[in-house]
Amino acid sequence: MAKYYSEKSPTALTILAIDKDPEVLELIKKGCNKYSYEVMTFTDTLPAVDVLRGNRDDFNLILMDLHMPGMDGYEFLRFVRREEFFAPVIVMSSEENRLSAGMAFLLGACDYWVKPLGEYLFQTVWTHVYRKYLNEKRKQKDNEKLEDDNQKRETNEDAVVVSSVGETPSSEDGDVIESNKSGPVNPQLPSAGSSRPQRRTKTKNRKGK
Amino acid sequence: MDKIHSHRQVAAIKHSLFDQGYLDEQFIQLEELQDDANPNFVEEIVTLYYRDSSRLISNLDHTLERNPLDFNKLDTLMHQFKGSSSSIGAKRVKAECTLFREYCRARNGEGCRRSFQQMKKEYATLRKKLETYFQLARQAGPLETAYRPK
Repeated sequence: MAKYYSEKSPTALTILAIDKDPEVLELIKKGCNKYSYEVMTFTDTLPAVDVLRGNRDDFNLILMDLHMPGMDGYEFLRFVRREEFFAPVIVMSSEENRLSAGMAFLLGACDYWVKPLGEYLFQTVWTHVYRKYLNEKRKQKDNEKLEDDNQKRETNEDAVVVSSVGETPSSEDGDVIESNKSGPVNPQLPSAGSSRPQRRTKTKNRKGK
Repeated sequence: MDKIHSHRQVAAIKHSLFDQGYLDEQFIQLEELQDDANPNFVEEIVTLYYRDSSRLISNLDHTLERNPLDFNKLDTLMHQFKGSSSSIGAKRVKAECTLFREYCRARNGEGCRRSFQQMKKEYATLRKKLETYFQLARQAGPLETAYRPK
């Protein structure tokens, strides 16, 4: 999660933008330059997909036109979710349509912009990245606390067994104390695990990097 | 065996909806967006559609009662409604919307009213058929657990 968000420069974003209309992309570039975000633009979805796959940690926000030819915004949202990219996705449409917005949100979009885009949108676009970062951090802390509690419970159970046995157990009584733990009663807690924030378990559907 | 029968029934209903022109390709696009992360996506979207469009329809109703008719407003409202109907693949409903808009452009109030009534009929019919379809699909359960004939 390190590259996803930088505490030191919380508004330093690297944005990936996909829209079939070069004028829209120009506007996006203007907005990004104004607030010193880096931006990479595409008029086609598939090349953007390739770049994303090859540079997973480089982008922390994606702007996506809902109605792209070929792979459209909805399919793209599904792709982002399946391949577990962290970057929040904001969808864009030239029409304000509640049903389209509903579909986009159900598929994981974090915001819905109606064109023509205003420059003001770029001023606070970093908040979407920040919000997601805070939520992921909280989830991770909750998971760590869960592991911590489980660990403590196991330790206490061991302690109960020992005291009921009375004397220090021989090795036959099992690996009750020594086992996999690195020390006596208060073993060292395992590190936070993978660098990925924990998510709900689901089957991964990688097509291969 | 029951499961196979249920799934065949669901498939049959879906086929007839397409054959009779109630649904088009767009409905299939919705189905393709459904997966483990969104197991009831199609039903959720259709529910959203009916909830959202009922507002548009009552709006259209009110606007059609005015005298003289505001054709521009009618056209704008119908454009929105057509867009949503198109998103779920409601083929017949969409066709009536197109007709309605043509009557608007021709400033034909009677044509608008007639086509609007027809549209509402199609809209209601589709709703019932889809409700049945989703109910049966839910009862039949996930496809993986049933035999899928070629």
